[in-house]
Amino acid sequence: MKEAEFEGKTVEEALLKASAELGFNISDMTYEVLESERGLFGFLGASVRIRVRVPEDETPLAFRKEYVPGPGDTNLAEGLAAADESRARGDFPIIGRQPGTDAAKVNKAIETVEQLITGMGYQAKVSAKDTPEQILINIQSEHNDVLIGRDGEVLAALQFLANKIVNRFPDDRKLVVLDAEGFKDRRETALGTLAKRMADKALTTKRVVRLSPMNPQDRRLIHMALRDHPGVSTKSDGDGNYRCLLIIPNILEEAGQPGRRGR
Amino acid sequence: MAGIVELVTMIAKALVDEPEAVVVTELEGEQTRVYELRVAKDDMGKVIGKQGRTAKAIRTVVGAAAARDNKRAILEIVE
Repeated sequence: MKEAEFEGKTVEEALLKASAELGFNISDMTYEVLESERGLFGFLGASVRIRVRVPEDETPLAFRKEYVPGPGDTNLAEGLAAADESRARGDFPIIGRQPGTDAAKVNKAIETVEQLITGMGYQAKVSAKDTPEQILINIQSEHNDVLIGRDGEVLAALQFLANKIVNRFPDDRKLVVLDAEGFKDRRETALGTLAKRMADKALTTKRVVRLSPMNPQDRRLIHMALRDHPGVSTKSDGDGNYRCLLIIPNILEEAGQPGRRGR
Repeated sequence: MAGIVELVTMIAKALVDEPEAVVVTELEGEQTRVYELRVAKDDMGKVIGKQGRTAKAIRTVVGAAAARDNKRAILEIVE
């Protein structure tokens, strides 16, 4: 672990300096505020001193090709949020994501998905996009219908296995998400429509609507679609493969009659 | 088709602690093929998974692979 102190008008500014100097993305650094002077109007003449820590045994991003000079993070807001979050958790000395391991992980993810698909006897072009939260893998193939499967079950199975294989060791897990030519978008639209229709049904019948069992990703999409719906609330009920989503009209909720047990 | 034997072998080896113990055999039937996956005793849990999720995922993938030549495939996990 390497430590260094930086100063700036704001914490952000100090972090940016640290990023530029040390060659690490902000999201890969942890920091603590040593001194903070408010100054006039909270900004003029204000100064902040922070101590930044970066992992010592890793090559700084500056020496790797994906480093973007200047503000280390391609998405500054995300980097700042990640640094703030690790500070809020109080895990100051713990470095979360280790720079340097990600590129290897992305390659491993691409390789794993390619091996699975060729092993199944199909050909596909596999590409990846690395984001701070997940590795997004896109599959392009003539056989997309088979690789997606009914309700996306084959794609979900491939995603599950790819995650098991890529994140075999508990350190530095990163979610691998599979998509095949916009399947996820189409699914989101389709489930959104279903969600609206079922919410209307719940409202007109004044009864709880129980959808058929779905995988967590699909349930999440429906929860999201109805999150801002004024008349209904959603919850999941059941276990494992049988877990399904309930749409509850608010009239029932207020009457103290929620739809059975569940989270 | 030897492909599925290799596919199951590859998946199993990537999941277990003792890859040397992984053996996959194929039994050809009229309309179905049965694949038997053998792993070390301590690795059974790894290929089955919580509530059988891993086993289910492997079966789904094997099913999609077998669909290629219009066959049904059954995967059995044996000790």
